[in-house]
Amino acid sequence: MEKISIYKLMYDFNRSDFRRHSIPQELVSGWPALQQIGKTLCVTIPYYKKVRGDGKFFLMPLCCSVTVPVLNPSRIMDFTDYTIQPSWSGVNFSKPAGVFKHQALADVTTKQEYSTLCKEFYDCYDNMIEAILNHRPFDDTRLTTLFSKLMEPGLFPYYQRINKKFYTHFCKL
Amino acid sequence: MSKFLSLKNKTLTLIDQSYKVAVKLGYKTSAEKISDIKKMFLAKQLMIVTVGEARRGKSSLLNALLNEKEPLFPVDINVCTNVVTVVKYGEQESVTAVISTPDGNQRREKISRAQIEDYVSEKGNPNNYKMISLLEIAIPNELLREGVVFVDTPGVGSLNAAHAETTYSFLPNADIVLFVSDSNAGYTVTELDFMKRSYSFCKNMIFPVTKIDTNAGYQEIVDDDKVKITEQLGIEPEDIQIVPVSNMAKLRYLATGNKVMYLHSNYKALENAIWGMLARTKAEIMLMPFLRDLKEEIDSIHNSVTTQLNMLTESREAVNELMQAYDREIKDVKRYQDEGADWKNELNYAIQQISLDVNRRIQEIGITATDKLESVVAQIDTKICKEENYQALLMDINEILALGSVEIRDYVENVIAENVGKIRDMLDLDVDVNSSVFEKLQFVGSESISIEFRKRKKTDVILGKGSNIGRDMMGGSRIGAILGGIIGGVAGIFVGNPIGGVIIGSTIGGGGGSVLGGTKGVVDALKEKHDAIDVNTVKREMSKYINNSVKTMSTNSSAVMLELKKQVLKSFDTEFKQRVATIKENADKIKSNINTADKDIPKKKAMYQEQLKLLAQLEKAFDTVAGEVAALSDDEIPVKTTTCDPEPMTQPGQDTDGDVSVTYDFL
Repeated sequence: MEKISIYKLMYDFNRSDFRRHSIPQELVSGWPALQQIGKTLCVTIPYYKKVRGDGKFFLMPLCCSVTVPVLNPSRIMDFTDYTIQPSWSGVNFSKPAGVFKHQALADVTTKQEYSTLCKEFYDCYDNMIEAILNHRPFDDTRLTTLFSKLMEPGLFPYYQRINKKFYTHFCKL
Repeated sequence: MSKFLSLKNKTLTLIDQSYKVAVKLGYKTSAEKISDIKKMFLAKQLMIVTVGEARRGKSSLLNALLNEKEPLFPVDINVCTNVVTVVKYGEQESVTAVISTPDGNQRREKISRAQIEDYVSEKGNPNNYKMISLLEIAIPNELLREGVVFVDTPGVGSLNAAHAETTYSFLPNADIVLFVSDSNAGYTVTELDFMKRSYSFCKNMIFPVTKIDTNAGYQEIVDDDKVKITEQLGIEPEDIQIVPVSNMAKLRYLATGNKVMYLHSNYKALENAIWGMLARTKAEIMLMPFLRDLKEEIDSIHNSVTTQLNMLTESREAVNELMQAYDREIKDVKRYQDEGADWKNELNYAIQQISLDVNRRIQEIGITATDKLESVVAQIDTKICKEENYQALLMDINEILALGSVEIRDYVENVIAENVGKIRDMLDLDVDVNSSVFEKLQFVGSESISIEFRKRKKTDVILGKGSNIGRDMMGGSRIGAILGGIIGGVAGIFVGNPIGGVIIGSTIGGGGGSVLGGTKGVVDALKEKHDAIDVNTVKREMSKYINNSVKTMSTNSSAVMLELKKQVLKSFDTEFKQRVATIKENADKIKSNINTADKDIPKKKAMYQEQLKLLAQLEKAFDTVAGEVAALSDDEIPVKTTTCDPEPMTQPGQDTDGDVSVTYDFL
């Protein structure tokens, strides 16, 4: 079996009809989370709005997410619009929740450096998926380090609302 | 009243309330946007489109589904629908034919139900000579009251290319597609190709298989169809909504009330599939998008009022800073509107590159089609001049051109979405491309081609035959001379003069061979009853067809690129203007407060707090409606039990490390 690439999965999904028809185009995808639904390993992709400000980006709270099986991403397992969820009613979705770049990325000065970090993060993520699909243990040290560095602190509480178990496990903020 | 209809009314009330609040608080831009939202909300319909090859029973299916005592559509065996017909709800029955006039405009003509056949069928309106572009039927049918619209399309297939074009142009609007086939035969290649294209527009697809009353072994066909759907669309077999039905039995039930006929028709399963799918999708399609847009406007007013309230107590410097920020934003937006703005250059460059690429691809398709033509012509030589053979070749060429054009359409759609997406992210604007424009890239080939072979003149025929006789005589003479020479030479050895033997033998043999060859030539000439067929004529006509098709594809692609560019620029421009208007509105409101005297501040504060209270009420009402809509989407999923475990965690045959049991506590 070809190795799963979570980056490619997200890339392809973001060009799918579902993405175009159901998720506002101005939203960008956030850090994915894994979860098991029945026997199926699924990935949840959260979406949020990024607004350009003076030399930085303001990040709005996560406003929807989509969950697809890792091995069959064209099948939608769940789509949730948080802007209309009663449990999220206290959230002001047009008020920035955080900024990019955050403090943990202070040493990252170029786009290239950030891309390299992201690439390494997704590689670690792919290794994790491969291990899970094969019921093998894996070393999550590097993934935890990278996840903790890349995770935007302002958005972290919202990520936790989506999947507390997963994000809390990997992000040590 | 159904839960959905009640929520639709609540959403409409919410839109009206929001409009009133926006007007009351002086937010003209938001009021305009909310007014647009209302217009689109009222116009939004849920479109169920029936498609399929001709004579598969699409019109009968609609008659049976609508539960009308008197069928709407003509379904005579000799009748074939050739016009798109839309059936929607109306308090009173009305039938309107939308007719295209020669000057390119349209006029509407009221007709009666009895006249429908004369307008929409191949029998009453052959080749659509009446130029009907659409037939609109409004009926007081409860099934349609919630905004459901049924659309009957002409059959796609080998009968009529214009039908295919009409149906294709309707697909982008479909919310649910009923892909109709019949149980007398499995899906054809054309049907499968059309199925794939339909699916690219609409993923909510149901597959009714009609005429089960005419084939007792229909289940075999249905099973086979299911396999083909999985292969073609990649839908898991358990997720395919394929329903074998008998239109005749359902119509009989409607006419007589005989419930056995209803059971026999299997329409319950089809109705469950359709209304179940509708229940799952209607809230998402008809309410949610408008609620989201409305929320955006309410939030924008809320933010503005909060900012004004905060600014009352802020220092003068803070107010100035905010005003400067607004100015900067307006300048930024205006800079983006400039002719030479970077994003416009990027868009121009991208479209230029895509155009070049598309043209290259079109040329390649032309070359592939020409290669096909040459290989077929070379293989079957003169047989290609038979009409059935060159028509079959035309179909093959059409397939190459059509498939190539589908690939081009997909490519353009993807690459444009990517480029527009980049610009959209850069400018932070909500702009999308209307996908119907890509349809013009689709190639629709001619169904047949007429080739006239040049009649040969009598003198040409005589000369041709004479030359054949001469050729055969010469050939016979040469062969006879060689054989005669050998025989004469051998005989000469016995008489002691081999050379003389060769000369005599070759003379006699040559003469004999010439006579025999000439005879064969004459016999062949007499046997040839027709004019000589001309392979080159076929080749020339087909090449001409390929060249013209390639030219048409090129012209269409240039037009699409131009339209795309215009559309994207216009959309961005509209968004820019709205953005500037909103910022100016906010800035003006703040400006009006700058010189507020200290003694007036408490009064203004109280005013803004009142406004916020009003908005809070609106937001509360919004949350209630949105919550109910979300709950409706969950509640009303009665029909299909979607099993969510299609993939085992471990692939068969994979190494699972034996007994190692690993748990992942973060999953």
